[in-house]
Amino acid sequence: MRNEVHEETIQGAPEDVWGFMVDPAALSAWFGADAWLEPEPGGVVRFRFADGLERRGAVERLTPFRELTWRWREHRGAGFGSTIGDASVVTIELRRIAEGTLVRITERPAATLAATA
Amino acid sequence: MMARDQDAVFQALADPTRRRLLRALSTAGPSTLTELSTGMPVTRQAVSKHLAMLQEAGLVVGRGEVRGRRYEITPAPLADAMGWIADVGAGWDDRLARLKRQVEQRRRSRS
Repeated sequence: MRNEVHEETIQGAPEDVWGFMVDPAALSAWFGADAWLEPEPGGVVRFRFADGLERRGAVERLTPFRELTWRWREHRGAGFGSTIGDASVVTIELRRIAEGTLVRITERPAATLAATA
Repeated sequence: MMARDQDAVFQALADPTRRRLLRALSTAGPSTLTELSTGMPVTRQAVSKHLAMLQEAGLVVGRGEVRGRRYEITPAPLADAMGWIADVGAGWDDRLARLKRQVEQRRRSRS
């Protein structure tokens, strides 16, 4: 499958945008989910969505003001009948440009990464 | 994939009747308009219109003469990929739009 890339130009320095990545309250607001993220490699990543769905995983790479990568998978329900989705890897890159910051988000199924690695 | 094709896929998958048609095609295999209309809560004309949108998005193809034409899902891997993209894609674009608004709002309120 192709890599799916989403981009947005934001008026503001990467330093301003970075806070929205690593502060759980700010992250929750733009993500549309109750978010928890420990900003360090191996740190816990957890998003609880309004419909009861949860996505959990861990930080893989983190370069302040530049890049945040985590691996997560979907968890629906608990105990008998619960389901766990396939893992995927999310990378958020911030690039300083004349207008401010170019934010690029890529999400790829982890299986694809393993196959091409 | 072109942005325009992607929009067509998002739009096609956004409607519950079209998702239901895709599910019906994926379980029953190639089907005619008459077969697809049976068991759908909408009119035959509505099903025909939804099929046209699914065809435009490249998710479904119609084969044969108009009378007795059979519709089928385009090869599964492509449909799967599109489904996956549509699921996360719409979400990420919404999130990026919110992030932009919030960063720029905070910046304005500070200056």
